[in-house]
Amino acid sequence: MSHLGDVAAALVDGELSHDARDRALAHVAGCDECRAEVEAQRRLRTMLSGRPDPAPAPELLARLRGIPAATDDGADGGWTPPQPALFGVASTRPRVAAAASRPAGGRGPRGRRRAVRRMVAGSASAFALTMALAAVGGPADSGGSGPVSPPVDQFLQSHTVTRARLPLGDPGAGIVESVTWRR
Amino acid sequence: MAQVRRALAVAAGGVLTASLAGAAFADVSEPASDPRAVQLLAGAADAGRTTSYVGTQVVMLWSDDSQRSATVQVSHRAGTGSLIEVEPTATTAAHRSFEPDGVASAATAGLSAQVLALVAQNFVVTLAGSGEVIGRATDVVAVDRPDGTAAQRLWIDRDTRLVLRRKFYDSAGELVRQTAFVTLQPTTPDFTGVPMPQTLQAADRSTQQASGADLSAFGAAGWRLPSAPAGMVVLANRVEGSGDDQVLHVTYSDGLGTLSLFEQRGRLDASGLADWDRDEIGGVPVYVSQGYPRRIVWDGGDRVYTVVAECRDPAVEHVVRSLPRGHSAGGLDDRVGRGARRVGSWINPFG
Repeated sequence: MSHLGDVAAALVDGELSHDARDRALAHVAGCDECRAEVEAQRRLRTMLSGRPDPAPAPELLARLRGIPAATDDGADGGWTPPQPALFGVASTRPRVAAAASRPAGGRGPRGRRRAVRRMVAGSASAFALTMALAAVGGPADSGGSGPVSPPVDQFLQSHTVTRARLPLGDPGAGIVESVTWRR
Repeated sequence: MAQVRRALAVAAGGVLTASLAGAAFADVSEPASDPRAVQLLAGAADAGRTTSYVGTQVVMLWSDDSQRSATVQVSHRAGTGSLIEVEPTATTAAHRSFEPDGVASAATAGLSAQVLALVAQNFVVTLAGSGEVIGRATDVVAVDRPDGTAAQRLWIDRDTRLVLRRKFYDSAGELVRQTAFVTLQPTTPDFTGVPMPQTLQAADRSTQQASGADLSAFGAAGWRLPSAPAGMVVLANRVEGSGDDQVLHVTYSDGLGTLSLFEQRGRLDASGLADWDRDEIGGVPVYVSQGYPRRIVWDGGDRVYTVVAECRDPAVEHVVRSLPRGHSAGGLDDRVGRGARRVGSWINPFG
């Protein structure tokens, strides 16, 4: 079954046509995955609302600068009319409708914001996961980094005694071995 | 109780026979165990805990170019344990200890069946003829590794089913240990006046197979637990001591051989290992002691590890490679790594 994909962001941004929005909402009502995606986009939009766009990472800026200007206005013929799709959009918003067949790198200003938003969301998720793992891991063991001289002979005795308790173990041999290995 | 034990022994035999039959159908090109020999092993394991006796045992140990021997008085009372008294010699100090019957309970008899099934899985068990030990008729059972090297030879008393004589070989097939009874009397020893361990129940606990919950709890407490090497099970686990002096002891077994891992907090002080060899196992620098069983010491991740093993090399390498290397600075990376391991242990306590 098809999922909303980029259309989730378009839905949150109010970019869909009336019919497309109705179809998207009907889909969201029955699809947990897309509902979660829409919720995530909505939370992120709320988080970012009223704030300036976050500064994108240098790599992202480089990628954005590398996008030919023609793909934004279609001057090079790169833009094609929207293809019939489950979640088609109004012709004034061709980018969303063409999401499935969009040429690589062909993103408009809103697309860039969405890409930034997704990057921020991904970074935030990664940061949250890192912090959660760090919290679970806890601080290093206190007092556990001092020099340790393992009592190997004592360990050998514990080993042989445990071994002797095997179903086919030999308690006498285990004890003798642990005793005679003592230096 | 005796009926329960007999039923478990029969069940153990059934497990072994079934696993042998499966192995025989799975690959007819591999050497197969003889079900009669496996049944003899199962009977010997059962008799070892259900038969009371008093005997004198000679124990000989070989290590490199040295040989040591000792005479031991063994008094076993079924369901209670064994009093073991080592007679002093030039190389052996007098020693007296009481070993509770670790496999006497119904729960651990289940473990007994599992461990014996491992023997059938990891070794080739065959009849090697008959013999006589201290005037008693015995069946000789050969336990070999799949590569054909000898692992053990056992002389099993046809009357009592006890193992009267046994030879142990290392992974290269070299004889490293031999034990033999020179006297044996099936009788119930009198343990009056013998100090029994106060924590018999706790001692018995150490022979039980670790549950997933146990291992998960150890993992959550920050202990690093390698998964069991291929063909082995976690035989026992316990934490001894308190505070920073705690030691985690985990024992893995392939049915006959065992590998113990001891884990301590801290960094290795190698001043006591001057006569040990420096070596590398799986790319990890370690200290290795001469002799048998193998003893290996190294540190990593603010832990000091000691392995004592008389099992195959791949099992040792698996354990060494599974544990952290180097030392952490206690920074974020260390905490994240520790957290990932803990979360991993929640998902898969054996991982």
